Amino acid sequence: MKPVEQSPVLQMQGITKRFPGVTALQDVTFSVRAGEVHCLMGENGAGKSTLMKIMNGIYTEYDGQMLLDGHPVRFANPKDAQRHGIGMIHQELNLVPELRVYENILLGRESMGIGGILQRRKMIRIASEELARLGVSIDPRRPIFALRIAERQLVEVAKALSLHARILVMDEPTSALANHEVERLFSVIRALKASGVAIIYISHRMDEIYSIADYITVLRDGRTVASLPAGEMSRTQLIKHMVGRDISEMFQRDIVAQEAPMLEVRDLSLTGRGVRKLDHISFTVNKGEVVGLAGLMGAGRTETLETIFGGYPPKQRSGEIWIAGKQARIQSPKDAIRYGLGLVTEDRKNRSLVLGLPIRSNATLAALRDMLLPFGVVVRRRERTAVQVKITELDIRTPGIEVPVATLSGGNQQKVVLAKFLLTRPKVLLLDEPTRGIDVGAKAQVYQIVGQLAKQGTAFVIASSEMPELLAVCDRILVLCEGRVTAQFKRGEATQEAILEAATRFTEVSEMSV
Amino acid sequence: MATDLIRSSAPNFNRKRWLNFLFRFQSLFGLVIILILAVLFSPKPNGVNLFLSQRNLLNILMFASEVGILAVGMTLVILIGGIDLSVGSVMAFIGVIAADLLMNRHDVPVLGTIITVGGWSALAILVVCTLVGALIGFVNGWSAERFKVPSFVTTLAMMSIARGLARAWSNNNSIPIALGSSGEQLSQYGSSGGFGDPVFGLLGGTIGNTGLPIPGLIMIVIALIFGFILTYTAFGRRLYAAGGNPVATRLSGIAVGRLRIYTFMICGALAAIAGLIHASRLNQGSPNESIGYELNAIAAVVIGGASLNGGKGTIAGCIAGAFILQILDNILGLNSVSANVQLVVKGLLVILAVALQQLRPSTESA
Amino acid sequence: MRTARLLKTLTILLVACFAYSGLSSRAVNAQGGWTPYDPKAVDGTVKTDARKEGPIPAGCPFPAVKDKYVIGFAQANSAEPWRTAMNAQLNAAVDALNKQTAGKPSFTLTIADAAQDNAKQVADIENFLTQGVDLLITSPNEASPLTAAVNKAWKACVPVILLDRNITNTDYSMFIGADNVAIGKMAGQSVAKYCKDKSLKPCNVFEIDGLSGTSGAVDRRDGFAAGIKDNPDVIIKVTQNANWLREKAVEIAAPVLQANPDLHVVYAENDPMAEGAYLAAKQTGIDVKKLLFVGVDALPTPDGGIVSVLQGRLGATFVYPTGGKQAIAWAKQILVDHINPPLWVVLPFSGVFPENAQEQCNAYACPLAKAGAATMAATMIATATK
Repeated sequence: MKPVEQSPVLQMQGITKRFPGVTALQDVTFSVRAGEVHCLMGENGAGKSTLMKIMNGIYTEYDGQMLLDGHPVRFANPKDAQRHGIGMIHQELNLVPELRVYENILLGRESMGIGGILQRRKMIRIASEELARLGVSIDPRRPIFALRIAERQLVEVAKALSLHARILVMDEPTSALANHEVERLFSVIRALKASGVAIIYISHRMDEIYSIADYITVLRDGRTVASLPAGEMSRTQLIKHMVGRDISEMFQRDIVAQEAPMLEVRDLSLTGRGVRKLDHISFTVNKGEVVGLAGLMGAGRTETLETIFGGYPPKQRSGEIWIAGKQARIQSPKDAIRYGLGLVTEDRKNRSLVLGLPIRSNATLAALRDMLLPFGVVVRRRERTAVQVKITELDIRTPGIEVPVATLSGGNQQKVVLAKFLLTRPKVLLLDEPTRGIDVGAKAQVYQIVGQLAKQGTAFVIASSEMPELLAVCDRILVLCEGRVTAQFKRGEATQEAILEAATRFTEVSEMSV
Repeated sequence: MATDLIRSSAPNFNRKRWLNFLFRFQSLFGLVIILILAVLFSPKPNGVNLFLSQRNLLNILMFASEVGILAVGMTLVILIGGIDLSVGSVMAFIGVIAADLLMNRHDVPVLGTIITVGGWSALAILVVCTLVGALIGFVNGWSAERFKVPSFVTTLAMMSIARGLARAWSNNNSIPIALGSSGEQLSQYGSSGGFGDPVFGLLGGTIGNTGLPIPGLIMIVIALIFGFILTYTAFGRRLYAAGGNPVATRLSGIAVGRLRIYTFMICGALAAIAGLIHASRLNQGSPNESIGYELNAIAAVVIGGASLNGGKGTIAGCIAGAFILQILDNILGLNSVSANVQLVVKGLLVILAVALQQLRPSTESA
Repeated sequence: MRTARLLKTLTILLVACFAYSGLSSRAVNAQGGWTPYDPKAVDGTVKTDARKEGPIPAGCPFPAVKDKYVIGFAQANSAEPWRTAMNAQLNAAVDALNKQTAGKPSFTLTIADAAQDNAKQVADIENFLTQGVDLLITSPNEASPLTAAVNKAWKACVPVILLDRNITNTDYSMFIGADNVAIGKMAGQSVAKYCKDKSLKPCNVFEIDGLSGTSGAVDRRDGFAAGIKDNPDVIIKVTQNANWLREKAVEIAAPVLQANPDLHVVYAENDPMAEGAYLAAKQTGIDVKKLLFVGVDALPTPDGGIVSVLQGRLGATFVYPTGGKQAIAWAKQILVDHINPPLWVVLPFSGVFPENAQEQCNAYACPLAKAGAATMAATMIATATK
């Protein structure tokens, strides 16, 4: 993986970008060579996405200059950038949910016959080829809304690759992909490398970076802090550059689990549309214990959490749930909360937060009952105090609690969701991908909070694809595959390989089609 | 990867704050603007500004009340992401029921016995009709929830049903209301049983010599009550949340479906009150009245700054919207502009209000 | 937010301020005497004589002497053809009057259309009052809802002339209209005769009513019921309501005609509704020659009743004068000459049947008129009511 010694295909020099009240980038330098995989690292708010938006023609006003093949360029809009060979795969997927896969891949480049009539068969064929190149077997005729996030991401990757870009920017492309899909993506990236495409890769996943990167540049607070070949920067150094402080044991915690079972799941099954999604899942979580749910995408981790929380209609599920020794009849999330459960969902913007409302309203949404006067009048003062306490406890960075929650960074938004359920004083907290799309510093904070709450007796079930995090934080890890529990590991027993093996213990010897 | 842009309060930040301020109160600013325009464009014979005359302003208040009351209910429904197209028909239906029960007595065979209904007091009719309105609202909301059908469809159907019921009940006739009457034929334009609680006239009347319209007062009281509810109670808070993101709200333990049904019930009850006021003002309950009133209510709500997607809107806004529409009608009428032009202007105003909403600085981040 | 509350308070204050600036009320002057009207010069017949104190309430000042008079007309529904004709005739009369007075004084007519909306018509009348019109003419959409507004205008010392439709009391200056009861009766009698001539026993009638709260609908219905008593075999089998509107009539007539193949007569209280029923019959394949269609209005327009009778669609209709010409004439007399008008003036009408349709057509200059064939009688009718 030696970088090809060439003059850079793209150079960004002295880039400065200011917004009202905030300087996002200060005199940043960044260059990438053809056939190089260059990882751009930095915490949230460090300026990575701003830099990429400038490169992509989304931001057109900035100081400094960009050189493409040595010639100064300035893109007027994204289409302009695209024409110059710059392709971007956003973290927020730019797909139209109502349209089909092939329609999305070829959006704007549809194959047309006489009179503008769409040549569907041709389009489906082209889309199939692009998807096959990725090694992905998604039926191009499926509509986007029927795909889960991970699958949609794969479609996005296929779409960008089909644009034959010279420089491809990938922003967190693997955050919802399972390991074997990531491997497939990497082999495609390596192939692109060999053909001379430059790839700028933004990700928080350390392991991936070190397996694919040729070069690493670190941004912090809008400045370039380090820019070295990957072999010359160790993991610790990298984290130090990103965070500016020495984080040695980030995620370790003490074992505080007690013997009292807080959550007992017995024979939980879920059927939907004739398909059995969960198959007799049973496990127990003790007071103060943190149990992890590992597995591939589609194994049923989210479904397990949501079923426990009452998100599915009772007629689709069977099995029993016991909380603190008493059987709980959970027909809806309302019941779940009443019994002391809380759920932080996978897709927080769409499913946990009302973006237009202020932080205060979002944080108190589940616990309004405790803040009322007669006639349902909300006591603002009680609200404010409670929310302020949580903001301090969770270290939520915000100018005030009246700010719309949409303006916060991903990490802070996640903390608001946590605050919402913490205000209901839950006995059991269910977390689904709690650190997805969050920077390292915030991740550490989240797990710190988990640790503190566990010490106070809260039981946790955490579903995550970040295996290193599960390994560091959980007391026990359950592995799901195809809706069944295939393995249970105690702390110290598990390794990534063992988990992966249990996660791929399918009933049939065939690859899971995505 | 979000950019925490709107964080600090540096000096050149004020422009965005002012814009936000402008948009938050777009309806109030709009009201001030149209008031100024009305004063400017008012006919001024002999130097007297007709628009500002006491009689004219009281007229505006009187005529704006029905739409205002409808708009309050409609705001609630739109806030939670629905819409109610049936309010005009409900007004007519309630008007017919009220007029009939006020003026006539009927012997109704029920389960073997004969029950006499009708000739009731105004208070009884007020209570009964409001309940009927709430019941209709319940049907609207419940059917949308149960059959997972947009409220647009269920209330569209109810629009037809309520109108049909009104026509059937009155046999396509207008039922005249003559209060405090005794004896049979009041006029050759319709007979009545001769009842007619004079208290009913209060609903559409004025306070003594001041000329202050009672419907206007009713509208103000209703607006204050629901404004309070929306801002200060859990119910209001949950409405905004459910409108902004029903999934997140449900997953926060709030029964969104039931909330929607309550909202439609309130809207139906308010439509009934508007219908009673209408019947009282016009001294008749007719199935042909209030055609198109739902559109006026929706226009008022939209002009008031609410988003048709739900989650955004205020009571103050919709009342301002109702006044804006009424002042527009008034000033065009005073200048004897053709009614057709008025319709066109009204439509343009709605488009303008919605377009302004799009220009609002977005609160969405990356 | 503090500024928000401030703004809201400001707006409320602003509105409250406006609400307290008032017009000065009209000074009440002493009233002189009204001149009685000349019975020989009355265009039509007097049903109720003039009020003793005059066309406006006692204690009201005389209408002031002015150079310019503004007359406001609150129309019920300009979309109806008969009312379009009424508007046209009003305008023509005002133009003629201005020519006659050579602009001293001049008269302006403003027409507001309520499009069958009672609330709108109330608002129109209120606006006229605010504008300060010198005289109000109106054709109330329905009686009960408009009574309060008309009374209010009259009590504010504005003379009010009602055209064609009445309210529920007599607080107005005068009512001008044809006798709808008599028209209904004549229609009923002609149906009775038709049924007797054709020996139809029983003779089934489908009655289509106009907007139920209007005096016209009530009167024409009552009149018709009285008229058919001439022939006990005539029964009204089905009654439906089409609100004076042609489209509505098409809608409601189709199912009735299909379900009742034994109908012989369709009596609609105006021509557009009769034409609508005729259309419905044709569209559903019914043999229209077997049915007698009767309407009222007989406008001399291309789509009016006279042409319809000539072309064989309607079997009978009745010329119903709009009264526009008379209204303007009386307006001038009240405002300028201070003449006290009769309370109720009845306008004459005439029947249009196949036998005299051509004559009527010539008299009213309908599109199928044959020049030079007018008779003396027809010319008299023409000049009196046109």
